[in-house]
Amino acid sequence: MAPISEEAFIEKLRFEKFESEQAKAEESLVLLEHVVANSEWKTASELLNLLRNVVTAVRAKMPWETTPCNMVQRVIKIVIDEYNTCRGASDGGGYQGFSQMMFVDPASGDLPECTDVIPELQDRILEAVAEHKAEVEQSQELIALQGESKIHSDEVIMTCGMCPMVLAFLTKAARRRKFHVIVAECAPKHDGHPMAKSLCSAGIQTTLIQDCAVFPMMSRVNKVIIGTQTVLSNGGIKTFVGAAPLASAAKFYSVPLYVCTPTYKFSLVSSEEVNHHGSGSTIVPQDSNLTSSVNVVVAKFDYVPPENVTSFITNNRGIAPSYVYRQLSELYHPTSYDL
Amino acid sequence: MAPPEGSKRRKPRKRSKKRTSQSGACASPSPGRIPGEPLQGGGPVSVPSEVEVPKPVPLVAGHQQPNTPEKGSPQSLSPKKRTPQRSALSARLVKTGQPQPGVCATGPQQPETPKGGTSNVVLTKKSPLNGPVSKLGSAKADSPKPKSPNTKFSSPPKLGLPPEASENVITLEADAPLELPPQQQQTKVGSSKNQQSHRKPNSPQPTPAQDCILPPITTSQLLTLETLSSFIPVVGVEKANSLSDVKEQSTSLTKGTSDANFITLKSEGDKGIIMSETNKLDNLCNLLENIVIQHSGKEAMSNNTIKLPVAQTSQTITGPPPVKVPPSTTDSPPTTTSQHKGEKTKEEIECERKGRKEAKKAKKKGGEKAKSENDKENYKNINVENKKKESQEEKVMSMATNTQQIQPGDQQGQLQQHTKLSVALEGTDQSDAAGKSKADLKRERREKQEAQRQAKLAAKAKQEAEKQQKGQEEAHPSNNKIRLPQKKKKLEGEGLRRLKDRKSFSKGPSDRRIPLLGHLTPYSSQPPLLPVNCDTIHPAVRTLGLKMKDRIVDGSTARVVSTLAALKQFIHDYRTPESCDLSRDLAEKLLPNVAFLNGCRPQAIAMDNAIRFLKHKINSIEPNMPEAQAKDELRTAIDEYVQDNINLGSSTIASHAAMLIQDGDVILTFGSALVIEVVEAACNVGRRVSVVVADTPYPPSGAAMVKILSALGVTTYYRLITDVTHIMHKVTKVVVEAEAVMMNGAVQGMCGTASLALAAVTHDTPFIVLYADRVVFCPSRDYCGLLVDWRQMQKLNVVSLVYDVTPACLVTALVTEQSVLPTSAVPVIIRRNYADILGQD
Repeated sequence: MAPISEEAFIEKLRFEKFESEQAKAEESLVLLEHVVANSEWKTASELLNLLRNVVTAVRAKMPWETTPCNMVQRVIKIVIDEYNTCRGASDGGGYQGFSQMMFVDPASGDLPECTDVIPELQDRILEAVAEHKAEVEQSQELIALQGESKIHSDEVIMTCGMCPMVLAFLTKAARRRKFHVIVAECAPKHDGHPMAKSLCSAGIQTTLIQDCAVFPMMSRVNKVIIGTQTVLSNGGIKTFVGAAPLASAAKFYSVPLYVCTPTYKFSLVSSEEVNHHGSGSTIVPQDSNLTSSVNVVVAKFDYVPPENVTSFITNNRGIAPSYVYRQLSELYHPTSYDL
Repeated sequence: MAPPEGSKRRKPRKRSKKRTSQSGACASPSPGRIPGEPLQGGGPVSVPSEVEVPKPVPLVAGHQQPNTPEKGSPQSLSPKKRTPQRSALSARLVKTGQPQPGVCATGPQQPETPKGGTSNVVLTKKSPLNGPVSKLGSAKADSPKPKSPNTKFSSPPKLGLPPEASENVITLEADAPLELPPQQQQTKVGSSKNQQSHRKPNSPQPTPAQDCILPPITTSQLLTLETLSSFIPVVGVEKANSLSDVKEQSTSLTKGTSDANFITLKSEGDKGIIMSETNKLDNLCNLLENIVIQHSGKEAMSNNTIKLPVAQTSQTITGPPPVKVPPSTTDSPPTTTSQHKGEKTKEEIECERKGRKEAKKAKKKGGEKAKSENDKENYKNINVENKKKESQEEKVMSMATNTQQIQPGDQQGQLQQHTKLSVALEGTDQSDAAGKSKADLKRERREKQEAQRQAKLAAKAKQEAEKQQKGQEEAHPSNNKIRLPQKKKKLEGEGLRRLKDRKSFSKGPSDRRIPLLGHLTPYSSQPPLLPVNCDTIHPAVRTLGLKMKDRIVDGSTARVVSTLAALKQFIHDYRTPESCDLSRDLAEKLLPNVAFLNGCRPQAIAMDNAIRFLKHKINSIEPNMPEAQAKDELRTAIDEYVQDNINLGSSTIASHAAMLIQDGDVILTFGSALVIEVVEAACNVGRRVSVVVADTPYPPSGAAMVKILSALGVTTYYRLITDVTHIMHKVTKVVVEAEAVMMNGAVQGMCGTASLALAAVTHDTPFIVLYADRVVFCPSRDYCGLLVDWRQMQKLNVVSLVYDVTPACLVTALVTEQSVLPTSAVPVIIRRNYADILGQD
């Protein structure tokens, strides 16, 4: 994958040229590798500032895009860890010291001072980033491998919309298990239709329903498995429109709701920042001439509160919503919480 | 070859005569069945139809045999089929038409290699079974062939029809052995052939003699169609066709069959039966259209116009039996096309080209169809090869061999005649012929297998079906599939592919039962079939049923009022037999009418209540009361019921609900006429309200409401129902309309109501239900525009629910014509208002 410039990357994000969050994450890492390898920096602090500028540029234009920011914050964590390791600091490695975790003030927004010039730092960072990149690339496969253990035979699974993670998860599970998938079409994008086709072609008994039939069908469902765009810091998720009614229906019928998400979707964003409204033109029936006085809007994302999520299925392990904060502390450095 | 044909022909003719006589006999019994059974069932067409089919088939055969009578039959068939079928089944027809070309191509392709031989084989095999092939062959072969097809028809039923039927097609086919088992096998083998044959019959229909043949075909086609289309899962998926005229005609034509179908169907399942019947009609229509198309082409192509019609008639006769094999019929039509090729070189060539193209497409889709095609091809060689090759299909094979043996002679004769033409067209005659025979055998086997599966006769059949399905889905065919496809592939790749596609397609629909939702009634574009000359259904009821089915009359209130009006007319026209009490006899006569309505569309709760009320009134009539007085009493009671429960009720609800709405309220609702009235009433009282209309993309029923509200000057928001959570913080009340309220307080409403209730509860917003039995917008019909080809996918079902039920715990208040109530008060209200009709069935 040829590295692209930061501007080109942002343009690509803006016009939604990426096929999936996975592609965003991988391309972000390519861009960051490029920044680390080809930018002029001598100390770790200079590199951290460069990385922070990338986050700022993305957030300025697309505040709802979290995956690239997650990747930058992940690389920042890598840089700080490698720097500390090289300096022989005691708190190196992936495990954050408890005292430091508790007493670093994220609100300061200041990255740690890393002013020592370490010649081998760049190589070590690039190595660690490549390792992380490999982890990202394998995440879908690792998630899919858990399908067998999460889905039991003859279960009825409900999902909504198109998510490559969920598709891989179900397809893999279908090799060993026989189950039935109900797909909600997920208006207004209606990407449940290709999802249903893909599942069907994978040999899974599939039923496509309209979104409003989620509630009546929920009583027959054993599990709800959906994908997400972002896992928020409170354990909730920011995901496709239609997930909130789906999740509350699952909650009403006490049906467990699993979210397939790789760890790169874990974000430090909190739930208040979820809503971004898109154009309502996509939902207006074509033959109906609604007057301009009618308020027509469709949201970009739905917010599902943590109490409606049973568990996250990640490439590492299952994570409960209440444990997301701990996962975040492992993934990101406390000083990068508020970039 | 020739001698066997002649013998066969002779036999069939005799049989046809017998059939005609039988048909008459059948007709008389069928009506008897019809009155009681149709009312009850309304649903399960397939299995019963099979049993009954035999009778209808004989009738058809009778029509076919006498060429002169054809005119009358074709007329009835053609008008019905043409008008309704064309409209409703245009899509299907297109599909069938495509498969047919494909079949032709496949047939020709296989034949092509052997040239004339193959084509002839296909024709012969199909021609006995399927009309089209025989027609083509007959056109060329002329008079002898037409006779042979007729004889074949008659003969097959006599010979092995019952066994074949059981083996070959699904339940329907098994039940309808009458249709000429060999022919059925053939038809099963190539549904496309059948379709073609039907098409050809259509062309003949214009010609009087051919017309006679057509009607029988239509009946058989109807049966097959039922199996094919019976699985339409979605309530609103298919567009409703107002086929009242067509339906009536078709019903009259298929009286015998429909009666039998009704009976058996009733026992099985209402919904499924209805669907299958409607599908049959659609299939018939498709076949007719195809016939017309092909026929025109044939006429132009064929030098022997006179002979052609005869051949067509014979073919049409053969065609119907294939039609009876519903599952395989879809596959068979293509085979029929191949037969056509044999008849006319130009047509054949064209068909072959199309078929090759289709075959390529088909290869991608699935192996079953290809298998069926192979069966057709192998048909000539069938007996020996089948036994050896397909151990699993032994039972089916035996059946097929019987049928095949009978027909092969004719086919061979036809083949010989056609060989020259086919050779000119296609390079390899001998190989094709062999391949065709094999293919035919395979087809037959497959058809038999399918029939077994569908009939659920044996666990083996089920297992095979599962294997086949798995194989299709996974592209790893089961043993059966593999065997057939391999042979076919060797012989003719494209033709096999086409056949496979067709088979899988046909099987898909016939087998398709919506998992988890099998208890729901799928929407059907066709009404339940009625026996010919059925006098148990009052015309007013019949008309209303069709209107309700097509949602011309929609909404529980409108349905109740129109139902009562129709029943009032029924009572008005009722005359008590001398030997019976009015109360007892009228209640009995009422049953089929109610069952018909239920068959057209499952009754609304309010309709059920009204009918219970009416039955209660009928039962409470004194035995010695004069008939005129009793009828007057009943009609008065109906008027009062409508006035008290509907007219007065709906007018007071708006005012009740308006009292609940305060100034500045933001109301979230779902497309509903009653809510508009409430908003209007609130505005008239001086309340400023704004309205959020939640809508579903299919259908956008809320858009009309938004227009009306914005015209009223009300601030309106238009949102998707999935997007409601983002505006719930603004909403102060959720107001929806109920279709019905259950005894436990649960509310039945348009699908999506429960989602709003849940959103309201999670946001602590009052959820108010209006229960007035008012008309609701929301015909959900044109669904799945984005997923056009889902029917071809074996494991994919598309479901559009029409109603959902909101649990009582989510409902804050229930606004009725009496008062505003909590849901816990519902049992009290029901007990008070409906005590006299509770417990009646």
